[in-house]
Amino acid sequence: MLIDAFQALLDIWVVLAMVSGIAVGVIIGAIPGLGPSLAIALLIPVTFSMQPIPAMLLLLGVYQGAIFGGSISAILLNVPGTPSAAATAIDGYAQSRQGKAGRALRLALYASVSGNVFSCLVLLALAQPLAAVALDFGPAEMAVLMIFALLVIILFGGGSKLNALIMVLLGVCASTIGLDPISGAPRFTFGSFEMENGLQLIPVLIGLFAMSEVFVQLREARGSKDKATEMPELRPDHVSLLDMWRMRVTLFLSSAIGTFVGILPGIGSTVPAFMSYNLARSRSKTPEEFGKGADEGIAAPEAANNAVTGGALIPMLALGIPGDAVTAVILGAFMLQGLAPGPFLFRDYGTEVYAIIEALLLSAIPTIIIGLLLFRLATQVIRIKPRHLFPAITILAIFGAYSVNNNLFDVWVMLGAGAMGYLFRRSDFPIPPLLIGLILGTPMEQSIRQALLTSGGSYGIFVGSPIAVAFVLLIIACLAGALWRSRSKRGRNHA
Amino acid sequence: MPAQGSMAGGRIGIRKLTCGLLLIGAVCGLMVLDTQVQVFSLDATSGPDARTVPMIALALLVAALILRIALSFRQQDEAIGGRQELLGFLAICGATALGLFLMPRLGFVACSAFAGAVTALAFGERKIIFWALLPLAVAAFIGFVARWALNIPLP
Repeated sequence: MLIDAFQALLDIWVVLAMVSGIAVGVIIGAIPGLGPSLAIALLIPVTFSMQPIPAMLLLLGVYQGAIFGGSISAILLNVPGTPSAAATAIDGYAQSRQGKAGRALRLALYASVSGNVFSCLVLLALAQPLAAVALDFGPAEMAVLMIFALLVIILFGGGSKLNALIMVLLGVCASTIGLDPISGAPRFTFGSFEMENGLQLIPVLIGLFAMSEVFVQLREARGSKDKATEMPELRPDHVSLLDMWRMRVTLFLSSAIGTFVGILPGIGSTVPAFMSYNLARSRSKTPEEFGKGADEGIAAPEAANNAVTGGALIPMLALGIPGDAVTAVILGAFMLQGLAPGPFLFRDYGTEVYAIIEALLLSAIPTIIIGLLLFRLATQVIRIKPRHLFPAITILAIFGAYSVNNNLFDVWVMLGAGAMGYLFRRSDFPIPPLLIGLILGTPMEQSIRQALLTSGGSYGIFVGSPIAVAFVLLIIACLAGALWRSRSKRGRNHA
Repeated sequence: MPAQGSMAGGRIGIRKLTCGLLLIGAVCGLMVLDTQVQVFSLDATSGPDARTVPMIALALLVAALILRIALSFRQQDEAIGGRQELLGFLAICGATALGLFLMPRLGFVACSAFAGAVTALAFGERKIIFWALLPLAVAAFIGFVARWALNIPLP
């Protein structure tokens, strides 16, 4: 299987797709405000006419490239291109101010690649065995697994739990629009034929990420005047293999944190980046150097936030449960290509999936080459003014939403999702729980109802197998853990 | 730096507005549930039917939103926004909606370029080359690529 998959990669279109994806990702990620979710959502229409492997590699290349690209503006301007690059900005910008911007960028690039390679190895090792276990899952097990995933997003996604709960419920409510998965009866369609297909994932994604970004940037642009950005000089500054070898333990621990936090649904890459930064500082013999341009202060968060990419793909590929907002977008793209993520993916499309994982592993080489080549171009792209960029994003959003089904109704959905996304973002309601609720809503309902149909209406089926019991115990443990954490926090505040 | 909205204390701010809109939507959803979701007798034989999950999700959503609104009266809320900001938001939404309405008659390029042009104007662009010609060029390029490279039949 692995050899067949490798042979599938020996195609010029596959290489071209991967390389272009990384290049586009690095450039888009460098522009503050344009993260990987937006880039992938807008690029999905480009993949319609492509074969599954190059299509997915283009999008995953964008994902990898954009996470690293986010560190370019963080290091050069102290403006993180993506939220996960905020931790990199602390020491990256400090080093850049010392005239070592080139060195900081190279450190970030090499650390990103090491994080990526580590997480892809874990993905290669874990995804298939997990999928094999999941093949034994019946509807009851799938239902409790999805409830567990949604609970993790609410309890541990960061920010207000009540806001996350509201967003998950809203996503589940939105997923009920369209035909009922069991009886086929229309629900909340208001007599509209187009509504029977429900809210299509890609137009909603484009609205929530691209169109809402236009509105958010409009607000930010109004609050700031155009000012000339002072760009530090990029001198050729080498980072030797020995420099990286000295940080091997930091790189390993950060990559492990990124990968395993990435596996948990809904947490994203910002939390592990800061966790790794703090761990690297606490382990350092010179913690006072952190914040003043320490090499490990750049390498640790970069390795962690890039390692999230492989980690987040594990539950997505094996169980069909997206780990974060970006993997939710990628899940939509997989489904459009006919590769429905979940336990059957490895059985039915093993060659394609392994080819994608192997390509992600091998992408370390083009990422380094493209990253080194694109530093200077990225510094030019950062200067693009929002008033020139966002009109193009609006046009791309209209095109992207239309092209999914060649249907204007989807563009209306995109516009509505954009306006709602803007309100949610301004009101501090997190978008990923909404998205994951929307994605998991229908399969969760289907699993619950199928399980109850087979059990004749007995709820005992949800604790009727060791796997289901294990997930129910995990749910109880998560609830107890969250309760204990909030009590101890309240106790500390009172003290 | 982002525009800092003033804090709206106990008055209606952006969070209360968003929660209020969601609450209205959720309550309406519950009210129309019986008419919008048909239940066949087959469904009722064992366990939940087509109405059960939407009803539970909507009821929980209403409860969570009421709690959120109640809590938000004890917290500072950000002001909804200035007149200019609101006008910009409405202009982009309105132009895109108008573009979509006219798209079957005028085509993708003209209508999406119009939405792009209004977006540029809302962002404060005043040079005609950037607010009119750049969106038109982008729309024409996308239209060309869609038709000839991606084989997507645009309106």
